[in-house]
Amino acid sequence: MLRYEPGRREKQLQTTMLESTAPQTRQSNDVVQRLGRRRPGASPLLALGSAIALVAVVWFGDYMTGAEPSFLIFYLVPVSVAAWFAGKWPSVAVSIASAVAWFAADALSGTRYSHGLIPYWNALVCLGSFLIVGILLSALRSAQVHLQEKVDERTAALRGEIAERQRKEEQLVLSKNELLGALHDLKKSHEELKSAQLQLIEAEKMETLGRLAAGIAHEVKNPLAIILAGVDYLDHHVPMANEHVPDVLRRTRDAVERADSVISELLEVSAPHDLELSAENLNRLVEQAILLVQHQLNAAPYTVIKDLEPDLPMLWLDANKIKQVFINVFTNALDAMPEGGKLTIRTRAKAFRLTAFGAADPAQSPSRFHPEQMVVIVEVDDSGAGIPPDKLDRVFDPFFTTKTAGQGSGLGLTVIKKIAELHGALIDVRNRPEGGVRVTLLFEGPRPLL
Amino acid sequence: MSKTRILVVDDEQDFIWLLKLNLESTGHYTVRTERSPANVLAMAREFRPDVIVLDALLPGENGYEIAARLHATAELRDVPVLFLTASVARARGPEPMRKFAGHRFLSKPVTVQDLVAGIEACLRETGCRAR
Repeated sequence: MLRYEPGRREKQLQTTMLESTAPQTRQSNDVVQRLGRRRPGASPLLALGSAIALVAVVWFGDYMTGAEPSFLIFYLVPVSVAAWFAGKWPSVAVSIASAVAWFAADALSGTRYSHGLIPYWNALVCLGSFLIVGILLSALRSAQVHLQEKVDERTAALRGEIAERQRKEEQLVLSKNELLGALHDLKKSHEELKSAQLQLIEAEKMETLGRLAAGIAHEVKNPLAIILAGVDYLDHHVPMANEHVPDVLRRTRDAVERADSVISELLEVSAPHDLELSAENLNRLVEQAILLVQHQLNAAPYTVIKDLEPDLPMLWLDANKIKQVFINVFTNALDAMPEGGKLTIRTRAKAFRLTAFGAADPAQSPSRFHPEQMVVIVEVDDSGAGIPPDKLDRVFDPFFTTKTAGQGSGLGLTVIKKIAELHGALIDVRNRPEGGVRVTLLFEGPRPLL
Repeated sequence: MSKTRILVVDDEQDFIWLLKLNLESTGHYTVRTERSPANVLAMAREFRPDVIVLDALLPGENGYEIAARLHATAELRDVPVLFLTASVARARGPEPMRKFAGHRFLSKPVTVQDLVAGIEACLRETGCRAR
């Protein structure tokens, strides 16, 4: 059987609230508990005592002032106190007491009435008035308390709902963060897989290229050897009666050398490389490489600006291979400025920052270098025409070249990239906003010498 | 003064013919050529070369195996071998006297100048009649 239990809803609410661990929920719990203790006339006995004391005071005043009917109104004070603070029945009791007190004071004051029953009638009227005021006030008070309870109860419920919502939002944020973390991990794995796949493809390509290169080298170098031997013979034994003969021989020899250098670079790209590492200073290798392209530097008015950091740390490098990298980079830069120009070479040791290197290969950069890791950077700038933007991402492809036929094999940057990779270095080629190309090489900073 | 005897072993007929022409035209060398790896030993025993110029990759036989066989023969033990190979990249700049497994080698295509320098280096090394 269902029956109404005062405060049942509050208890249910309290139970619900207690199940929740959120601090906000516990806070609203306290509110409900405070509400549960609140009742109309929290101290009814004290209120009743005070009201009776007030009746006595008013009675004394009434008695002392004699036959003064308007004093009646002061009895409403204890009645109101009892009704407001002690409830309906205490107010009825105080009303009766007030009516009796008034009657007694009236009787003692010796007021004479035209009829003997009039004092009793007056007392009844007083009692009626007191009761009406008392009962109405107590009802009003009861309604006010009830309303307040309802408001508090609803407020607490709302707070509970808010707390619950906040808790769910927190859970949502947590779940979202977990999902974002998982997504990040997934993306990272995907990138790693992609990178591994690319490396595999690259390895397979290089292996195929290696086999092809060895075959081509053998089949092409032998006929080249015959041509060169023939040219050598003609050079020494054909009388130079015809003025064109020396030129024909020179051009034939140049063609043989060009074909041979393509084959040599092809072998260079595809051959497995072993590094002969030693502690090297990059500045020294830069200087040596500049000497090796000196003949090309003399061919046109070039300005070489060397901005080399004096105290570069020593790095573990294969000096010959890194020199070859610099020679190829310088040669490319000079080829891009056939009429002369400015070649700037800069070396720096600094903490690694992605922005310092750009996002040439974002897939591998973050995994290879970590922020604040010491790196050594070499930048080579030319003042040439730059590389057409649509061709920039192909510059490392084998046999890709922007040079005119016969000027380049398209293997120079492929060789450079391979050597850089063998050293765990990064290479980036991009157009400079002010014109020309910048080649950036980024080497891992010094490791403890073994 | 007798000329330096050079035995050239290579399967490229035109190449050995031109090499012979070039070397002999210097006036310092007598050149004998051989295309077949199987005949090299007999030819060398008969010709007694001062230097053997040997292609590193002959059909059916590795040049280094032929060199080992030659050096296993008492009368040919001290004859230096200069390898020619079409399988390695040419060195940057003037062809240096690179060595592999103790033997000098030159990469094809080779100029007469580099070949003569190689032959002379071999002769100097073995204390033969270097000019």
